[in-house]
Amino acid sequence: MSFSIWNGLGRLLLVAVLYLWYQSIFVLPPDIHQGEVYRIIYLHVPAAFASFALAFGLLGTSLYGLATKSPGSEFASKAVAEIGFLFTLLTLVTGSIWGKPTWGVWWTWDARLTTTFILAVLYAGHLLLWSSLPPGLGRIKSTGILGILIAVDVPIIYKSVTWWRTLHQPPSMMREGGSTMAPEILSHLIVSIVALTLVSLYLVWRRADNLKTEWMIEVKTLNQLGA
Amino acid sequence: MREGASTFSQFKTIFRFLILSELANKERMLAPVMFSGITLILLSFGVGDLPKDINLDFYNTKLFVTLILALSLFFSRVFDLDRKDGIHDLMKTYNLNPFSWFAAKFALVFLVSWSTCIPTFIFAKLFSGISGDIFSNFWQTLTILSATLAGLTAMGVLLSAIVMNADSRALLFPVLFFPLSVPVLLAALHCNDHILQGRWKGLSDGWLQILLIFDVTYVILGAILFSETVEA
Repeated sequence: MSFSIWNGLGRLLLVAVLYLWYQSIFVLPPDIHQGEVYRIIYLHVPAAFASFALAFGLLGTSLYGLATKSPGSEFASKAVAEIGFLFTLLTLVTGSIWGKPTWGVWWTWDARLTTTFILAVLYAGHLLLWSSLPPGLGRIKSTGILGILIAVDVPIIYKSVTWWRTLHQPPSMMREGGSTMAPEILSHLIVSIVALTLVSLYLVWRRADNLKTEWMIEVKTLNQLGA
Repeated sequence: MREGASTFSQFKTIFRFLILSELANKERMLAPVMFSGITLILLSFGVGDLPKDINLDFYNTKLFVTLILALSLFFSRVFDLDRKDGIHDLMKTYNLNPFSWFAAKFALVFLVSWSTCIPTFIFAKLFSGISGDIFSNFWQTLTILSATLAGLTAMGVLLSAIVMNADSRALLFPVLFFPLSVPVLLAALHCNDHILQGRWKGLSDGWLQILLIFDVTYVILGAILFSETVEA
């Protein structure tokens, strides 16, 4: 029963995201300065938001794991790190595609780009640590501590645009004096952010469920072999 | 160790034991110094003579990047001795206060890090041909280096503890240490740049605050979370 509910939710999110992308590409007007190329913000900004939000999700699962030592928390942490890594890569790739026509280069060692790249490396480091430790309490604690350290790094990434001289544009949505974006672009962007964040949470949930099932099958097989 | 000893007396005992064990293995201290010397020679030789303003920037970057690399060599082996002779597991069985343990390890690593930091600073200055007294702006530089070392040491000890039982810890440590050290490194670089330009008062623009915020954050996180790594 619960399986079909989750499948239904997944399909609903897929339809919502496809509808939003259709609107982004074919319905909304082009930007007055950047023309058509700006449309990538409807994927780039939500992906960046989700990758940052997932770092705080990692903080949550890490704290939960350290507090309860529950085996489920390590699957949740791994799922968050995997999806966080994917969304950070998506942010970097879409940023790079946007950078070529607007800055003239695919990549530059700009503060925001570099710190986002560092976030991707940290997610990858978390996954590496998870894989190189034996299952159990030690892994819950070690990956939990690292999850907290990664979350501490995220405010730096967010503030990097204002702290350092950077090519990347300053925050357009959350700034003093209100947003500089056109209302229709802003509202569509907010809806896209909410939708992609929900997709990322859905993916985390399903991945954690898969990891737990894998583990249960492994334990069952080992028990059968032992018996 | 006497059961029920105070946190401070536990700290003193562990610290004394750690110092003796570190001094008995001098190679551990010499390897990072040799590494920084060779790296700085190669960098200086490879780049050659630079115009004065670029040379100053390059010297600053070279100093901190080499320092981070050399320190990572040292930090990655913080628990090697404990692990090798089973002391770490043995100490877990005592009723030790994890805070005393962390504080002793932190104090030791912080002190021993200076044996890498001072030669790296002197080598960088000599090999870059930076004019002026090597001890000009001594107190300012000392403040920045101390703040940099404090943050990096706290994080290094904590990371070293969490990768201690990992299969590929030699590879894993730098993969985790370098990205996490970026905020401290960048803040230290900018602070030292202000000092080199003779703008010590300009540090109120935020870089020193960022450095100190990260120091405090990493030290507090280290002190709180270290207990998780030592609880049996």
